[in-house]
Parts: sequence; structure tokens; C-alpha cells
Amino acid sequence: MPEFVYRGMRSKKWIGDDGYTILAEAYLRRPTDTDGLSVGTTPQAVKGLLLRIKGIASLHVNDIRTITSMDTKIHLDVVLNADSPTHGNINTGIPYLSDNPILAEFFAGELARISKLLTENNT
Amino acid sequence: MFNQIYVDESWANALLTHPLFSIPEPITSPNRPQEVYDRTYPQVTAAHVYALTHTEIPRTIAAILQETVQGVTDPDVCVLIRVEPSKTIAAILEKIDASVADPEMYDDNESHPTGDVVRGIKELVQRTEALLPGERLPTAIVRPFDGSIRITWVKESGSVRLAYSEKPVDRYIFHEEILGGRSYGSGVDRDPTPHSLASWLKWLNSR
Repeated sequence: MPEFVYRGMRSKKWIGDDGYTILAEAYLRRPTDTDGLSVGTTPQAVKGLLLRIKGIASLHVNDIRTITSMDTKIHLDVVLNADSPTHGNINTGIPYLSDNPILAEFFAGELARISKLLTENNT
Repeated sequence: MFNQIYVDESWANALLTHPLFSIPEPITSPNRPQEVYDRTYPQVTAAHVYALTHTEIPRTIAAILQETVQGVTDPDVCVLIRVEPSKTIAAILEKIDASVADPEMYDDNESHPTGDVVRGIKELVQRTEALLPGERLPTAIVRPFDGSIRITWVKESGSVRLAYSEKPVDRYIFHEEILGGRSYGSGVDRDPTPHSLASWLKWLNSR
């Protein structure tokens, strides 16, 4: 497992009005996120996966693993795709927003807070 | 200087029952707003104007207030200008319109909020603001999301997120305490009313 994973900011709404804060909206699991929240192992892998992105956020994998719901004891982790190891998903325990808003919002906020938007120079 | 201000009855009634106000005469005559306002002007302080711009006054009145006082050098008016914050109700309403209209706020094939959703959340925010006299809230972040509209108020010590969907069952207020950058004591209030939202925003402000 790499030290960092990267998530493509598909929409402007995932980034705060200040232009650099990542919002919880970037990690709310939608019906189309069938495999979880997609990430890449490098910024280049993210760019190759998405046609249009507004930015790329980096997340330390160890920080992701420390995110645990006190109520459900569910903790997050990254699982890489067997057939495409430069891509993976944060897919352990993240519910769809419609199924469990409190847990979905909790995880989304935690992930947003450990995310850092990369600048043009380090992508 | 306030001769362009016209108040409607609902606004005037809200004003009269506002705990910050001690205006002795009802301002309920839309036909004579200028006279009434002239008479009550001595009682109007900066706090009043702060409240005016935060309560359920129509957007147009907020705009008129701003336009009218700009460029005036009267010391009292300067005070009023200084207390006019950027986080007014008008600013939030503008953010709702701007975010909903911005095509870059949407994923491909993502549903847009309906007119009912837009109207509903605006009304909720306006009525909530009326319950928060004098409160200086954190800047609101407004985002459309799969047909809903979300408003987030965040501080280092906590956050409140209002999710407003077409279906009432999908509406809620998420709240969390943040300590050392991590979330504690999060919860969801599934009854987002002006009173519940005002309560959670007061809670956030007290953090």
C-alpha cells in the first residue's frame, strides 16, 4: 500500500470558496459510487481516470485508517483494485448518504479534514 | 437618507416583536414608511441595522439599505456601514442562487435542485436568521448536491451542515464537535425547522 492516495475533485463544489479547503461533499458516497470512494495511488493515475477534474487531493493512508466511528466501531481503509493496482477505493464501511446520513456525514467530514489540495507544482 | 426604505407588514411585525427593538410605534403602514421611519430613526442604532440585515426582510430592502448609505459621510451612517457584515442573509441567499446556477457545481447527469427546494431552503434560512438577533455566524458554504442544497457553517471547533432535499424525510441538520481536527459527538437532527437550525447555530457559535 502506498503512503498516500489521491482523489480527483470532479466538481467545483468539492472545494471550498477559499479555493483550497476540501469539503465534506467530496466524500459523500453517491449512488454512482458503487465500489466506494475512488482514489488513485498517484496524481497521474487520478488524471488518467477522470476526464475533467478541478483539483487533486492527497490523503495519508495511515490517517484514513485512524478514522473510526465511535458508535459502530467501523474504521476506514483503502483497497486497491486487483486488476488495476494504481486505482482503488476507500470502501470499508462508508455508507451511502441516503442509507445512513449521520455516518456518511461523519466519515465525509473526517476525510475532508485530512485532505490536502495539491498545487499545480506537485501534481 | 432612509427615504427609499419601504417596509412591508410582515417585516414590520417581525421587527416590532424583535427583542432588540424598542421602537415605540408600529411600523405597519406601507403607505407612509418614510414618515414612520423618520419618527423612529432616533431609536435606530447600529445594533438595529445589524438585525435588520439579518432578519427576514426582503432582499430588496437589504439592497436599498446598502445603496442608500453608501457614500454618506454622516458619522451615524458610517457606524451603520461598519456594522454591516458580509455574512448577511442576503449574502447567503445570493450564494444559494449562484451555486445552483453554476454549471461547474454539478457532476455529469447530476440532478439540479428544483424551484421548490430553492424556495424552501431560502425561507428556512430567512426564518432562522430572524431567530438569531445579533449573532455573527461563520461564513456559510452553499453547495447543490444530487438535487438537494447543502449549507455548511464551520469553525475549528465544530460544524453544522443543513441538507435540504425535495423530500422532507431526506432533510436534516448534521452537527459535530471538532477537537484536535477530529470529529466528536456528531449527530443528526431530522427536523430542520427555523428553531432547530437556530438552536444548532447558536450551539456552534458558543463553541
